[in-house]
Parts: sequence; structure tokens; C-alpha cells
Amino acid sequence: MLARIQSIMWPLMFLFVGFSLILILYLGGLKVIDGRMSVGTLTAFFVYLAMLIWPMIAFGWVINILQQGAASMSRLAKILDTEPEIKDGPSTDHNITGLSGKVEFRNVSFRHKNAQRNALEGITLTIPAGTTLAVVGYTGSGKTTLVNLIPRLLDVTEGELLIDDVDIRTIPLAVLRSRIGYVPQETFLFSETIAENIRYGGEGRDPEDVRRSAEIAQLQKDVAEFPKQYDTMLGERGITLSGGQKQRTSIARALMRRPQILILDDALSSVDTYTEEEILKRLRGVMKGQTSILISHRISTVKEADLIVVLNEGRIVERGVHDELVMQGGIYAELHRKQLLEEEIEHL
Amino acid sequence: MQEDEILGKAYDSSLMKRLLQYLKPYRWHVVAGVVLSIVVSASEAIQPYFTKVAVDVNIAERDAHGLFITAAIFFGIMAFRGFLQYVNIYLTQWIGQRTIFDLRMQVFEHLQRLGLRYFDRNPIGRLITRVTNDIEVLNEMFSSGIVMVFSDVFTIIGILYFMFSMNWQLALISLSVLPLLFYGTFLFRRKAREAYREVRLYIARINAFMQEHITGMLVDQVFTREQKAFTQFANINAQHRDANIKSIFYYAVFYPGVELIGAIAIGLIIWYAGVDALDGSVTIGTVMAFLQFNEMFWRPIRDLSEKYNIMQTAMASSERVFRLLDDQTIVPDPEHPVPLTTVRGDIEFRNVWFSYTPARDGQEPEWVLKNVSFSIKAGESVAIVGHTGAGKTTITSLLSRFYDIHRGEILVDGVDIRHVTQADLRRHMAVVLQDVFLFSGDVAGNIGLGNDAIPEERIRAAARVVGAHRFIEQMSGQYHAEVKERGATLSVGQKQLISFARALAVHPRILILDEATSSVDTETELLIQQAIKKLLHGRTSIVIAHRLSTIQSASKILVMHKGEIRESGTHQELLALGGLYYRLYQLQYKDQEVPRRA
Repeated sequence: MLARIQSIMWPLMFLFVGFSLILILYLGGLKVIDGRMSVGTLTAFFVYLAMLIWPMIAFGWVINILQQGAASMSRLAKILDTEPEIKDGPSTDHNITGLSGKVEFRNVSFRHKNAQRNALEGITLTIPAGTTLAVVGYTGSGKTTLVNLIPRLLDVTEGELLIDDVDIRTIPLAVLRSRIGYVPQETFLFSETIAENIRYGGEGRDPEDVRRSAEIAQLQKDVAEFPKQYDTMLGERGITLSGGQKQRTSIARALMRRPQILILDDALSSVDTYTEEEILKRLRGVMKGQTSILISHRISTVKEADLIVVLNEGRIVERGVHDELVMQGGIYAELHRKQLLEEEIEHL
Repeated sequence: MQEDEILGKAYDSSLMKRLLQYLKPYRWHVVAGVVLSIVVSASEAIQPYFTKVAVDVNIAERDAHGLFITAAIFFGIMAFRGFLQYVNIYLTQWIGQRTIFDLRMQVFEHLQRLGLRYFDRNPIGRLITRVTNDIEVLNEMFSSGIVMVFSDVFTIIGILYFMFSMNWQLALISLSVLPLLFYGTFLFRRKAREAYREVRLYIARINAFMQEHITGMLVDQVFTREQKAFTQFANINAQHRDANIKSIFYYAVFYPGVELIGAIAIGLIIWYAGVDALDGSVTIGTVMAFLQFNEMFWRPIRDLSEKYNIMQTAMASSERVFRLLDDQTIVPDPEHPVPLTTVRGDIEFRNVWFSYTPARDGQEPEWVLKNVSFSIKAGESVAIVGHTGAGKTTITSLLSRFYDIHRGEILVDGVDIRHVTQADLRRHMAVVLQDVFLFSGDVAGNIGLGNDAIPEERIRAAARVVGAHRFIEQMSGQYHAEVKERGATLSVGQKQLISFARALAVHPRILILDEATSSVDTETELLIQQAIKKLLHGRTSIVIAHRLSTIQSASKILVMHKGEIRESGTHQELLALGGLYYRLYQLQYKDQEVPRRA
């Protein structure tokens, strides 16, 4: 079908051009014969016709381009006209320039757009500045949603979320986010050097900070093995890091900004238990005065936390410290039992 | 991306020879196309001749009737030419489409033959590019390239012939600008190609940057790096803009330049004719004909330089397509296969060693299976249990011979599976995978998988045995109900039942079942358990088991750990042993007993 249309297009165009040529030749020729026109005029007409052909073809072409352009523009406009939902508003207090790190959930519920039910339901929880909170629970229990509320990647649907005893929405978004070190569940690194990736968390800081952050995240030994050290390129045009190395780079990036609130969303899952222990030990050192929030499936990661909460279907179903929760015999205890077994199997 | 951007030469005789092979079945069509091209070109080149006759003969002699006749003949030739050109273009497109159809079939056929190892190594995206983009480029070469090159060359020859036969001095004069044009075109092509390559490079960077930052938007926002990323993007965007402006500059110089050269040619023609016309050796008709020739001459020359680009990309594309076609990552069939018409179903693994990565010089490869031996008697059911990564799925892949083993033997009915054809081997096997893949089409087609040897009766029977019949009957269209979006409208359990029916429909002697772990409601769970029981009944089966019920009914359980079989025996024996299985049972299967006790 397409071939048929294409094959008729060109011949037709040439045919029309040819016809107009013949018409000029014949009708013009008659006038010359009658003596009403000179041969020179006929020749001039010939040249004019030749000059007309290209603009005529181009004209149709331009109209086509204009139509395509209009369609593309309306699609672009749809993107450009979308208003960001999370932004600074009238209640924002621009005098706030820093945070101390206390986080408080007051009966917070959250529902995703178009979702049938709440992803979080009636969460009440206080994390004093300088303490560590651990969140455990099955996949889909709402752990990530809970921590995403803190850097305002999502806004609460009901209830109140307070940072330093003020509503989170009064804190300028840029201030809030720049004081939070966030390590997402899915590690994302850019196709730049390792140093660039770590510096992403805190531009303009002392170059020594890159080294310091990498040291805490237990990345320095890996980096030392690369020929170009911190200037090693990552991604398509560079090397591919292992899952664990990526996670540790991502942690170093979050530490680079010396955050007031550090959030690790299952960020040690690809790191072996020994290295995990080392990282946690160092984190406890540097995060002494700051707030840490850890999400994990591993008991080993969370057992030293000041407070552990267990989420199930969006609700907090258990809370306490490690020993208390093991005694309770609930979800946490079950998780604990299974992990001990798994470790046993691993050593067989 | 980078590999795909490299442009090589426009003509490579060995590649061309191979490409021309694809035209062989249509060689008479090609010949017809070339002949038509000659006629069309000649009828185009003759046009100015009629102008000359009309002006010099008819108008000069004030012969209105003669002028009409000339115009009529002219018209007739134009119409004839239009028709032939239509036939010609249609014919070349037809040849192109046929050729590309054949090539695409060949690529697909080859992809189907390639071993899984190939797909482990080559990302899907790149393969899709091969079978779409590269073949599309070749399509352009076949349909508008090869035959049309003849057409352009003939047109040029035709015009030259008529020019010289009309007035050779004038012909030489109007061609005197050609070296200038050739040089200009050459310069332009080189510059424009460089500029164009630069534009493509920056476009690729813009795309890569956009893609990366959209994927990583969460990180971008949470680290408040919007401003910084914006500046970075502004940089790349500016580079792209400048490269574009540079390439536009060349175009802006070139086209007026060509016009100018054309104008010079016209000026020369008029000047020479004017001087010469005084003595009457050049007529006005000749001048008009030459003005027309002059106009006609540029098109085929421009076309030819465009064809050069087409050929250049086509050579690069064909090289990549041929590399794919030449890839021999296939699991080879034996030269003299042992026929395997009927199978009892005895299976034996004898000291099997296997790794997904080939052995590097001297070093031991990373073994996925280490010295695995076991045997299954015909009709027995064996369950494999173990942690993730223990090598369970590998065992089933090896039995279907998706990969060849490094050491040891795998025997079916005492015959090494490397001594029979893969088609023969797999004919007697059915594999049920964890993730059910449904094709677009109807339900019956998804059970029979388009195998004509399976009549619809057998499809229905299979569905009835596994208990899928009931819900299929309830769908509108029943067995001919359309499966949309890979089965998005079906539940997980329903999809599994369909895949069971699919396995059963081929009446396999050996069944490989990788049980899905996804949880389903109690009713469906019961259906599935019953279906599995029927599926396993009377045939040799290997099950990667997640259900306690399946494990308990197995004649033997193999416990895999880190690529080795650590324990084997029945459920009760292994529990009594108190080893690895006992712990796995505690960890994974014990919970399944709870609802039944309650």
C-alpha cells in the first residue's frame, strides 16, 4: 500500500511539471506565431517555470512540517503545563535555615493517587534528634512510603508530620532536603566519576570529605584497587560496580552532606554481613548527634537501634527494642528465628 | 550507540556480493527494473529536443498545426514516461520489500536457533535494533538504492548524448562548470558529514543525559541538585545548538552555491549563443533546450551523492546484520543423531559439571553444578529443593539441553542427550516455568502453541484434566477468547492452569515443573495442587518444588546446596536425618502445614 502511494507520487509530480512545460510551449508558441509575443518572452517564461518548481514542492513540504510541529507542541505543552504538587507554599517560613533532626508522626495516614486503600494508616511515632529508628516488615507493608514522607517526596494525606516541632510544610523544601541524607532502595549512580557521584551530596565541600565519606561507607579499599582511584568513570563509558559497591557509593554520597537526618532504605542488602557491621559501627560514631532511620529485612542491621517498629499493611503492629520484640513472639520474632536458621544453612 | 554510529566505506565488495545474493530470486524483476530505468531516463533526456523542434521548426515556420503535433507527441511521451516511472518505482519497491521480508525471516529463524547463552550476552534492546533499524536501512538500499542508481546514471548519459548531438560546442561550454560543481559538492559532503556526525553525537548525549536524569529524578530532587543538573544540561544543549548551526551554515552556503554555478552555466550558454547566434549557427530553440538540459542535469548528480550516504549506512548495517547471522552460539545437533521415537523416561545425571561462564585459561570456571549425579526411573517423580542459587533451575535447563555441560553425561533412556537432535529430545518433554509467558492470540492457541499436530479436542481434554476447563468456558469466546496484554485479564492461578494444560497437551513422557512461589487464594491453590498431581501421574518428572504437598508426594527429594546434591531421600527419611533438609523444612515448608491443621 505504502509502496503504491510512494511509487505514484514522483511520477505524478514530474508529469505535472511536464504538462505545464508543454502548455507554455504550445500556447506561448501560438502567440509567437501570431506575432503577439516575442521568442525572448517565451524563453523567459521557460526559465521562470523552472524556477517555480522547487518552491512549489517545498510549499507542500512546509505545510506538512507545520502540522507535525503543532501536534508535537501540544504534547510538549501537556508536560510544561503540569504543576508540581510538592513545592513551597504560603505557609513556608523562609527564616528556617537549618534542622536539628527531631521527627514526629502524628496520626499520619497516606494514600497513593487512585489507590483503593491507605498505604499508611494512623502512624504515630516520635524519633528524638540523635536517635536511631529501625523499620522492619514484609514487602509492601509501607516502609518506603513512610520514609519518603520525610524528605517530602510524598505529602501526608491525613495527620501531621512535624520536624523540630513545626509542620514539615513550613520548612523550605530546599532546606529540608539539603539537611537529609537519603539512600534509596534502588541505588542510582550517574555516569560520572566516583568522586563526582559522592560529591553529588555536597557540592563545594572540602575534597577531603569525599575520602571521609567513602571511608565510613567502607568504599575506600575498593576505590584503592581502581587504577584511576576516585576519578574512575562509572556507567556505560566506565566500569560497572558490583551491587554492594554501588550501595556503598550511594551511602557515601548521603554522608557527604553531613546530614542531620540519615535515611537508609534497605541500603545494606547487597553488602556482606561483615562489611555491614563495619559500616554500622562507623555510622554510630558520626551520627551520634543526628537522627538515623534504617529500613531493613536483616535483623543484624536493626538490632542495635534505639527503637524498632514493625509495619504490617501500613500500620505499626509492634514496637520496642530488639530483646523486647523477640520476647513478644510476633512478626519480628518470626523474622529473627528464620534468619538464624538461614545463617545456619549458609554455614553447612 | 557508539558502535552503531561508526560509518565506514560506501562500498565493500564482499558485503555487496553477499547482499546481492538476496536479489537472486528476483533477478528477472531486477533486470526488468533496469530496462525500465533506461527507457524512463531516455524519455526524460529527450524532452528538451521537443522544445528545440517546437521553437526552431514549428514556431520559426509559423506552423500552428505542426506546433500542435509536436506538443501532442511531447505530451504522449510525457504520459508514457509517467506511467513507466510509476511501474518502475512500484517494481523496485516490490523487490525491496520482498528482499527485506526474506532477510528478516532469515534473521528471526537464526535468532530462534541461537542458544540461550547468546541471549544471556546480548541485551534485548540491541537485538531489537538489529531486526528493525538495520534492516530498515537495508530496505532503503534495496528499494531506492540499487536500481535507482542505474536510473540516475542513465539519465546523465542520456542528457550528455542529446547535448552533444545537438551542439557539441554549447555542450562543452555548459559542462565547463562541472569541475567547480564536483569540487563544491565534494567539499560540502565532507564538511556536512562531519557537522552531521557532531550533531548526532550531541543528540546522543542529550538523550543519554535526559534518560539518566529522568531515571534518577528521585536522587536529583532529594539531593537538591536541580540547579546544578540544569546548568549541566544547558551546556550540552548549547553544544548541540552550535553543532546544528554549523551544519546549517554549510547547507546555507552550498545550495546558493549550486544555484550560482547553475546561473554561471546559464550565463555562459546565453553569452556563447548570443555571440554565435549572430552568424546563425546556434538557434533560439537550441538555447532553450540547453537551458532545460542545464536544469535537468543537477538532479541526478545530487541524487547520486545522496545514494552515497545510503550505501554508506547500508554497508555498516549489513555488516552488523551479517555478524548476527554468522553467530554460531548454537547448541549443535549431532551429525548422525540417534533416533528417539519413543521414550520410556529414564533419566540419569552422571558426574555433571557446569558453569555459565566459559573457562578462562588455566583458571577453574565458576561452577554452578559440581559433580552432580542422580537417576530417575521411568514414571518416578523427583523434587529438587534448596536455597536460591543452589542450582535447581540449572538442572532443568541442562536436561532440556539449553546449555551443554562441561563434564559428565546426561542420559535419557541410557542415551547421551548430545547424541540425539534437540527437536527429538524436546518433543518428549514439557516444561512448565515459574513465570507463565502467554502470547497474543486466543486461549486454545496458547495451550496448543500453534502446533497443528494437536487437535482442538486434545486441547480441551488437557484443559479438562488440569481443571482449567471451567473458567475457560466462562470466558466470552471460551477457547477462542483473546488473550490480551500477555494475559493481564487472567489471574495468576488461571495463567498457571493454562500453562499446565499447555504442558499436558503435548503428551510428554518427561515433565519439568518449576513451581511458582506466588501465593494464590485457597480455592485456586487446591485446584493447582490437584492439577499438579494429575500432571505428574504416570510420567517421569523433575519438580523444583515450593509446595509441601508436591514434595511429600515425590518418590525422591534431592537437596541442592551451593551446586551440589547434599542429601537425597524421601520426606520422612530426610526429616529423620535432621540435616539441611530439616532446616529448609523449618524455614520454608513448615508454615504450609499450619492452615491444614487448623
